[in-house]
Amino acid sequence: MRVFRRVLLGAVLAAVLVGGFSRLSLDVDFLKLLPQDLPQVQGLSLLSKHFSLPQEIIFTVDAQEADRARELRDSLAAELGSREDLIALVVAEAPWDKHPEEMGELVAITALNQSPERFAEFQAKLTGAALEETVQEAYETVSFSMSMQNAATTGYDPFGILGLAFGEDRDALQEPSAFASPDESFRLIYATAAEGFASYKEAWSWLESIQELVSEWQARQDTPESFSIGMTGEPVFLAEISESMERDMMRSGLMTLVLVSFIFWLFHRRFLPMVMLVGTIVAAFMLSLSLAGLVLGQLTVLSVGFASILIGLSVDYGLLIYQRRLVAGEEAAALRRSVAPGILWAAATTASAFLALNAGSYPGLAQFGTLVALGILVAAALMLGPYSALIAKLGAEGNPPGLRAWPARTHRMLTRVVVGLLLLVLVPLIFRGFPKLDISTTALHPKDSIAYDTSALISDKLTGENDTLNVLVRGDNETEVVGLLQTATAWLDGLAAQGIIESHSLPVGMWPNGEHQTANLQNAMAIAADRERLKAALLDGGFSEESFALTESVLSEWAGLEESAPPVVATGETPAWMLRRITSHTPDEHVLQGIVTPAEDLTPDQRQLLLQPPDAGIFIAAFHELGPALSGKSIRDFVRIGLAFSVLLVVMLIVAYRRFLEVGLTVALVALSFLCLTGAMVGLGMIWNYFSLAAVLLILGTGVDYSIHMLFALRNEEGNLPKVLQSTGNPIALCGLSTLVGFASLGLASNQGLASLGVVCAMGIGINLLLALFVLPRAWQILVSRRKPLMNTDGGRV
Amino acid sequence: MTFLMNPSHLHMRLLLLLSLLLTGSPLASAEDADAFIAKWIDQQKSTRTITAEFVHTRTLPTLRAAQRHPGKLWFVAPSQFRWELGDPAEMLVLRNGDEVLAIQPKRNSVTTIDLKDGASSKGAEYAMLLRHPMAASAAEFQQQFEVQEFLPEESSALLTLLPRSSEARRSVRNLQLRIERDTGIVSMMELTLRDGATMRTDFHRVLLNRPVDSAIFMHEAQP
Repeated sequence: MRVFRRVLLGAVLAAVLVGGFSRLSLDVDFLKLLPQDLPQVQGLSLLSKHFSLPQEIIFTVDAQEADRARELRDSLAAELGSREDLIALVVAEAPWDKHPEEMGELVAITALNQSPERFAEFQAKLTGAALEETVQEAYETVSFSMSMQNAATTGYDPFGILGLAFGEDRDALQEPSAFASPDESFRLIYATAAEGFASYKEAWSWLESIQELVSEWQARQDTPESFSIGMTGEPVFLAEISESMERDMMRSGLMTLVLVSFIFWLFHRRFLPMVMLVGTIVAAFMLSLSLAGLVLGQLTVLSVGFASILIGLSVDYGLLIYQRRLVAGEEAAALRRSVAPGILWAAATTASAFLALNAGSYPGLAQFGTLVALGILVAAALMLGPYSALIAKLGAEGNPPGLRAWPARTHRMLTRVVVGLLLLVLVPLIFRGFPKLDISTTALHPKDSIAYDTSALISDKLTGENDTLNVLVRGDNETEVVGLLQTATAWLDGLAAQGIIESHSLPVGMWPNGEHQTANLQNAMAIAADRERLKAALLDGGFSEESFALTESVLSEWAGLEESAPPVVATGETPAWMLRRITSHTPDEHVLQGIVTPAEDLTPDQRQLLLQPPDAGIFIAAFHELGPALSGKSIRDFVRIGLAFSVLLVVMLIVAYRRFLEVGLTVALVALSFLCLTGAMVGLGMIWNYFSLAAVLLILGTGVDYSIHMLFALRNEEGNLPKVLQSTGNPIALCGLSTLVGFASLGLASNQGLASLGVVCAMGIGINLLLALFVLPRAWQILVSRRKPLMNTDGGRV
Repeated sequence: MTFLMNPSHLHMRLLLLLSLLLTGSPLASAEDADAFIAKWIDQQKSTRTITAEFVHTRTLPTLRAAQRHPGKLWFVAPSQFRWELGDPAEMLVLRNGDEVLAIQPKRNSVTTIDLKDGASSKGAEYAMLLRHPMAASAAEFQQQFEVQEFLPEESSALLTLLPRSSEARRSVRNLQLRIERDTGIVSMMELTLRDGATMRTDFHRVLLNRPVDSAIFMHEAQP
């Protein structure tokens, strides 16, 4: 029966491991880390989901001056185009300039999207006697207009089809701003990868090939140091962030594992127990990761940090168990009874601290907290279960006692040093106040990222100081979007009338309007059938055949739609390239995007009006607006969760200690640790960000463990400090060091938020450790045990 | 061949403004284009009024026959301007301050263009067209134009220019100016577009700094 249970348990574990790992994947979208109920996050998520092309990479050419930039662009575009194994399509200039003949389809369908009234007005100009007048008017414009733009355009569009299709926006077709900066010294090339990427490793491999290609090309140019090439786009983000996530997890996890193993070896010099400890930790990590795969599926950039934290925290339980076995020599059952209360309470408080992150608004932090909490509980179970059985049976028998006792004099001296240091770190706090909160989105980004840097450069070069905003209109179907577009246009026009925005560009005409197309299609086909009469009128009116080219193209498109059911969209390569950047149609969502240019020097109230569209289907999205939106929420979250967790912690301490003085002492030390942490941050020039704020909760949950263990030990040993330090203080020191190492290793993480969280946690853990080892015993003696002073092993007072 | 063009506003900018680049002082005889241009631009600033007649010829691929029309212009610095094309006038452009009226007398059509409306392409185009002086300095001129060719002749020089703006270059092949050496008068200006269209203006009977009745810059006024 016992064997059957073990086999069954093994089968379940194997299923969990296999099933969990098979579901696990990496999510590089940093927006998923942020509060999903924020309209700015929703808007940016829509933008990312619908308008970031998974296979498109954007190259930038940054040269000193326009001609050089143009030459380099042309050369690089040719180089990229020559590698059909890597690149399927290269677009280096506005496609409507290069292939204007392909724009007929777009013009034709956009014209059909106009209101039936507008279309009827257009048709009326081409009917009967009005046609001659229309031609004559066009002829006069071409011959006499002072505006050469008007004269030339009218020559190629004498019937005003462009005006019908695009109205006032027809000049926007000629805007090259997606391909060059205003001074044209900065150029863009859009390239599409030859094939899709099944995994981030494929994207990384492809990116390496592209980087090699570009480097070799650059080396062949004159003065290659005089210009720079950037790269951004979904493939680059995917490759960079995924690769860094995997590297961070492996590096921080391995580093922590090696360091804690070294720490264990340094103090105990026992190989087999170290192997057992490491093996249990690795098992806890694997099991936690597979459970995460089953429950969560995708890991975000923050969650990759859970490995090192889990290792650093869970090794504490193993160290405590091993030290207890050395000191007391108990068998497995008695060993578990001795250590279980401390370990279970510590695991509970630590897991609670991490789970408390779920109460916040940041899904990224919530997932991270859940993952660590899960790992902590799994690790505690494994440590109390198989690990303690192994240690009791195999690991500690015959081993000498562990670390030496601390001389009382040494402890007194170190206490004075620690108190002095902690008071010192409070000085910056007194003179400079608390650290500020960074409300920018810097913490969300990787430290070194070509993709992010290039993306920021594009925004800076193309829009300059104009912080334009994206306006997105989203609906479940195309018809819903049509209605919302009317609402959006009216709202934006109102904002313009109030001077809140300088301009807006919402390409309503390019959205497929089934109702209008249905109403206009018959009229369009009637015009198309009248082709010969229209052409004859132009030729009689003094125009050449050339003037009919655009009209011919549009009429052919209209005639070809006879069998089509509206709504229709342009599918030619050039129109599709343009439409792909402003419209998106998926089975469950349809989105159109435009641009809004805010006026300068808006008041807060005006900015608020701009950022609050009138309908839930309309979004204003811009990365530079994300910071202010997040800051308010972050502070509210921090206060709410901090207060709630603090209350929970006090309750747990009351249940654990059942003595109010000891509860008060622990709470006071926690408060002092927070003050010292903030003082140290101010002294080091550090500031808070969205993720390092979460560190406060984590420090609360993990740092209080040391006080719990020390207090229990002081009680159990009746104030015998050397015995307390030997049985509990030494293990706590090891535990604290290992936990500190786990968090500190995150300081090397690629993601700035994760790195800052790791560093702040490490600092907080260190401070808590010092307070628990040196300040707590003295304070306990003064406040709690006046009748029982701290004693030496020989009964003398410390 | 493109039918989605954005031809340079620069043609008309120079049709008008370069007709303002008139001087009574003899130009330097230097054969260097930069020096020639520098001196020519310096002399713009002394111009206060201009009256001139011209013949404007347009050859466009979209028209079967070339268009040739007489015209007249009047200018009083800094911002009064009248341009008539055709006899009788088919197109009349009047400027007083920041407002420009484009009038088609035959159709009783009046279009108002606000030169301060930078967001409007028409406003921007006309603002550039009617700027005086065209460039504040030779250096600024050089920033706007690349001199492709400088052909000095006995009594004049022929400049072939290319606008530096890539937006203009998309449609403009080149711009040619014939400038009289002795007077600095632009006697001919021709803009060639990428589709082969040409727009040429030949100036004659140019008078500088003569009194001009400001009433002609008002709407409905007749010279």
